[in-house]
Amino acid sequence: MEIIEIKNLSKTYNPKTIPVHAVNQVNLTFKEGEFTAIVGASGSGKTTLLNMIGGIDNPTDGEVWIASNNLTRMSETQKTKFRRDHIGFVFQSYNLLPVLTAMENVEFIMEMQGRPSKERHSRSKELLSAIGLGDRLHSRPGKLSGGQQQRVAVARALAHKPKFVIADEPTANLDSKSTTDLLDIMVRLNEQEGVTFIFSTHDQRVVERARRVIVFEDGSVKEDYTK
Amino acid sequence: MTTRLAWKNIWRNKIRSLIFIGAAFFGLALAIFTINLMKGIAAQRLDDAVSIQTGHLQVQNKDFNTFREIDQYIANPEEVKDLLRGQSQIVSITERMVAEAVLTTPENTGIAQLTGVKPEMETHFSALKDYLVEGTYLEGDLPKPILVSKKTAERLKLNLRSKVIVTLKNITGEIVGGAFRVSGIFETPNTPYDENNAIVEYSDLSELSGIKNPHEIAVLVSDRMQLAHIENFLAKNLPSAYRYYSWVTLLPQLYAFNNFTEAVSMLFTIIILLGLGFGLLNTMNMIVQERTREIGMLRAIGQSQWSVFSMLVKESGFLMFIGSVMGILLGIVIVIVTSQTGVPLGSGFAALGIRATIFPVVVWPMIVMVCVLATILTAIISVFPAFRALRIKPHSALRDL
Repeated sequence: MEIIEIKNLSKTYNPKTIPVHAVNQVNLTFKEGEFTAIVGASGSGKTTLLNMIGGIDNPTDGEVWIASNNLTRMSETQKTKFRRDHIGFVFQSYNLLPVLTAMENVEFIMEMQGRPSKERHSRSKELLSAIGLGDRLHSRPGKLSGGQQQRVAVARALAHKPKFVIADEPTANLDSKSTTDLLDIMVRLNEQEGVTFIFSTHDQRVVERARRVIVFEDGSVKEDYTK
Repeated sequence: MTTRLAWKNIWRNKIRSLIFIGAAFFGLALAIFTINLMKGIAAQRLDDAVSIQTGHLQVQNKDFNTFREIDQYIANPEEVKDLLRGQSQIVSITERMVAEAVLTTPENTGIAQLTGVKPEMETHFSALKDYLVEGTYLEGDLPKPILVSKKTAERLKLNLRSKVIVTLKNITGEIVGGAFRVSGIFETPNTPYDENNAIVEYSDLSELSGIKNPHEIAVLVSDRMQLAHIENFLAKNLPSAYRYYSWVTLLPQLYAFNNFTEAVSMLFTIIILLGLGFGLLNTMNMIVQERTREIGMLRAIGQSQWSVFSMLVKESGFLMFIGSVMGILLGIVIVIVTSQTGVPLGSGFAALGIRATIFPVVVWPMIVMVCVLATILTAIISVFPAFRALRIKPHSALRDL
């Protein structure tokens, strides 16, 4: 079942001066449960594409449909709510809230959704245990290693059971062992929870674990294959 | 959620937050203390002036306040006193006769306003006897006793029981004189009053001036706020031959001084609050600047604009609230303690009629007003950085998404 459909998506920066076509007439679909890596050189447009799929940047042209919802037609308020309820984000620099514990960070989006504390606690404990941080529930990000912080970020992205998770270079700041651990976790969660993962990466180890690979070049899809 | 997060956020940079909280704490404690100290100064000056000089209100012959002629006395004092006695707010009434006089001793000469008082009435009215530094208050066996100030005594080289010749114009316009003996020497906190006034018995001045009736009937009220009620009553009932004057008219300089001190203390408070406001604005702008990426992340994962706005406004509120509440409480404690112990200012302000020790007055409406001003200021200031945060675009803030 297709969960994301991208139609003729384009993004042009400086359209009135020196136009830069970051994304150019891209058409893609993503199915539920896919584990997709978008690869390409720096400046190829991967991040811009992910921003538009995640509804945090607006396309110059084209449409993004997510589960029959046209994201590009939504108001900012609607998009914010849609992101909160249906999309998970993992950032390169983890971007956890330093004043909250690992558990509070994982619960954060569910709290924004107004879910009851019992449900939040249970879900965050379940996820943090699943990623091997069951003994660090009350540690703040500053007390965790980079790899541990990124695992908490993955748990946060999954906590509210989104339709899909967008991860931009999730392993870029991690060492080899942390990268392997994180990929193991993401693959396991993808298989166990059926969550769709779309991530951009340069990392060959990540590409090797992906089941679908989209090669991006100069704002366009150069290659798209499933292993 | 935003409340808990805002509270935790303000402790991220403890030193910066504590510096601002400390500024609000000391600034508002100082503001509260200053306002109440100035109020204490104003109240003390007023209490001294009304109790020694004018009373809260006087009834006079309709022309006396303008021309101050000796024949402009109250024709029927009993009629006036009967009117005043009917007012429950009035706690004390006295009659006084006033004449411009020349005091002469073998060593020197001076001009003074001579006030003839009835000791039995004045005892319940005037605080002057509390300021006697030598002798007694028109009591004892001296014939024609006179009270002079310490300054006058020094200028005219007078001691207790010294003789002083009083010369004045009587009812017929003749210059008459009489010998008085110093029964007491006073020193009030009001130097200008001391330099220009001497007190004698009503009967002695009456004999010298040739008039029997008083020039002024002065009253003290239990509560200054009740003065308007008495003024309304007199406006309707006082015969047209007389006029009434409140202390505001009789002591215009004091009234202006009180307004001035109030305005200065208010201005001082506003300057402190504005300083704190700019400090808060600077602090919150730094916070937004430092957390641009984080705010972008929060917006990206679905925190609404309102929620981000609310979180930042609450952070401003917490910073200001902690500092100002503690500062205001400290200010109140200092004022309450010093209202009992007094604040020593020294004798350098005596020329302004200010005592060496001032007892601040707790003025709750002013304290409430400072709280309200601080709240309004925080509400206004906190909006600017919060609006700035709303303009942060998630994709711009998160270059790496």
